[in-house]
Amino acid sequence: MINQIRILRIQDLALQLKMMGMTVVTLILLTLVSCVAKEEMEEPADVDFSRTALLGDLAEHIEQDFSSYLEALSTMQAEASAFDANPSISQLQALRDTWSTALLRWQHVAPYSFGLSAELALEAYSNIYPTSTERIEQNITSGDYMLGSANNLSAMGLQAIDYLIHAAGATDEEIVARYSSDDGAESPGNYLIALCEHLSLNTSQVANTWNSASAERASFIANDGNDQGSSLGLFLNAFNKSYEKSTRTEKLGIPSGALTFSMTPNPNTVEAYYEGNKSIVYLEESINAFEALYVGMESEDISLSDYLIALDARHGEKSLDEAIRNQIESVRSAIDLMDDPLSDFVVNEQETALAAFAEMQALVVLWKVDMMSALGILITYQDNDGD
Amino acid sequence: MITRFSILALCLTLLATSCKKDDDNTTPEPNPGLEVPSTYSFTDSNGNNTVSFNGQAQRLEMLSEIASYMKTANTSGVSIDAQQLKDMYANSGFTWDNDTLGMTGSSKQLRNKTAAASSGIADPGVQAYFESYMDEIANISSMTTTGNDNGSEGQGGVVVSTSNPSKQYLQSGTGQEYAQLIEKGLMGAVLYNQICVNYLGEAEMASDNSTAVDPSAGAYYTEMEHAWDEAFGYFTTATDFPAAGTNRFWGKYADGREELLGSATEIAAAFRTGRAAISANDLAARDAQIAIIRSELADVVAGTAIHYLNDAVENFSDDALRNHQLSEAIAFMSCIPYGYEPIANQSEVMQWFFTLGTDNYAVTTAQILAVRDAIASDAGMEDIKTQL
Repeated sequence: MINQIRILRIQDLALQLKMMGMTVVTLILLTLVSCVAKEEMEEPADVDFSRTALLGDLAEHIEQDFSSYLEALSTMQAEASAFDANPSISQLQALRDTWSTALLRWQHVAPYSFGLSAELALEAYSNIYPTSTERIEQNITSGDYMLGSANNLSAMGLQAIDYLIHAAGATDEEIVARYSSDDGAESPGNYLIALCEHLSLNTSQVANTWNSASAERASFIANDGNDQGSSLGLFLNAFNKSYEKSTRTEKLGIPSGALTFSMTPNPNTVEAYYEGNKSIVYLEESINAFEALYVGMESEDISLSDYLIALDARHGEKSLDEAIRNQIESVRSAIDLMDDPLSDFVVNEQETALAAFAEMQALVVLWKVDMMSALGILITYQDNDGD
Repeated sequence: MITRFSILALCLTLLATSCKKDDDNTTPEPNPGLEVPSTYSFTDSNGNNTVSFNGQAQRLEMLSEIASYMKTANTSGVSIDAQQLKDMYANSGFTWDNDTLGMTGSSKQLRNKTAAASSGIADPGVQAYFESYMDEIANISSMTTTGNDNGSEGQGGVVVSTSNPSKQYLQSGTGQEYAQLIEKGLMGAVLYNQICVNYLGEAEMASDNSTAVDPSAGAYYTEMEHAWDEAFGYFTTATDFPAAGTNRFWGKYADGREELLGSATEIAAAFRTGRAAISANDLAARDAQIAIIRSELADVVAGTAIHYLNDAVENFSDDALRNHQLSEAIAFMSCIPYGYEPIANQSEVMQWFFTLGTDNYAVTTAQILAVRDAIASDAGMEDIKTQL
């Protein structure tokens, strides 16, 4: 409305001036009428830093992580088929190893829940826990299920496989016996293989979008603003959401009881519950993944860390980058004080677990609040439709 | 005296302050000479207020109270009464809270305006749908017991969000949230339908525009001005929208899509401009605004449905949120056929519902995205469908 009035007045003025013969000024005024300025997000201070280069490095990093994870899935799937064909304890051990490798590599892919990964709800399809053993057994028995439906999320993915290879029987012998069963309805083999296939299928769809020739990757690198829909915006929102929810909350917050009023620990909610003795290893791997993304890899020229340094972002008296690196160390040290099985530890030494959670939480703040603010990028994953 | 230098100074000042974001190619040229106020306030040549939409204000308030009442059932153990909901719907023997508008005992109601715009009378089939939803929500709520949030697959009741436990919703055993289906459904079948098909339609827009309806009774408006006001009142009761009025109904959802579609500012401007056009008897200008309102509001409906489908994928593993967002999406989809020359008719929308299936616990992301893509295609929103 104000624009319209200004335009009317400018046109009036232009008319008067034309009549006064001041054509040069008229031209200036008419130019004003068409003046439209693109309003931008608050830009961080003008620095010598290329977001395009950063996005290029990130894309490379992401492609490698997906490639590595996909390879592990493929190995696991092959091992699963081999086990199903010839169930034995040694085959079972081999399968378990490949599963563990896949879960370790998953930690590096978890932060990338945007783009096609988010559309396919890859995380929900890949690593939901705790699982519903009831549902898993029901699916095995009925043979009639739709993998990917909402009500099967707790019966699929890496954690369902955890159950199938570690707890489908009370002992290893019993597990092997189940898979050796001639009656298809009793053997979990078909279900195990179906789960492996579903993981590979969906992951490769996402991985393809990160190949060097893909249009999505080119578009990711090209979209180098810092506004809401920009690549860095999407990437960092996914990064923060994953660290806060999937790492901090799910791997430690819920099991330690940190996030409930009663502070009661929930031992059954740890990751890799059925494997039973490496939950903390996967937690540490996740921290490794986030650190590698933050500081960059050796093969990479620039990283988020470099960006914060270029901006001279501060945190009190220190540089923000230094504060973050220090906090990552604090998180590592605190996690180091915990021992597997995590499910026992959260019950028997809850204090130490809660202390580790507190350190993880402090890192949330540095990344989600301080870093995002320094980069001028909005956190959007907490928006509330208020309904 | 105007000198060359003072003009230049003026230019520079204007240059510094007049550059604003122009985010939409469809913003029409302003009509030279048409004075459009910055809020929805209009007077006749004697300075008498001509704006009036009390009937619409009443109905919005009624829908608000219905929505609030239904939400009390989001707490386990709270039972709501189907007959009360129906009485509120029909404004039959019901005493309203906070009744400064005079709703109690008035002739205004939501029921007799349900899906009524095309024919002039409410569609009994659609009325029956809403009343059956009222039976459902009452039934589910009656079986809940205090402190027992046991809603889950196959079990109607209150379902608590796992990612944000402060959020909980009463849902059926198939994850249908009737509070959404009713509230947002009525937004379509009554409010949206009345705006775009009735009040901005040919019959109402052919009303008299030359004489005040009844100045002795304070009705200083012409019939046409009044019809336009009634369209506005169904959109929002805030004359300074979007400075206010973004808290409910179409004002809220237009504002929700403002970032990507500019809907709130454009609809507000179109309503004010159209009303100014009517007062100036410039019917061509008025018609241009009608087209804008219909188009923008249709985009809000489709855009909001897409938004909630995206949310449902985002929150796929959280039953309470996914079901809630799917229910919202379904309700907004159901609004689509009530617009003017809608992008999809009832049977096409039914196809979408068929794709989603009847059980929100059994849906897959592929199904949700298929429907999202179909809506985006029909609405011409393919390039923004992932951002909505």
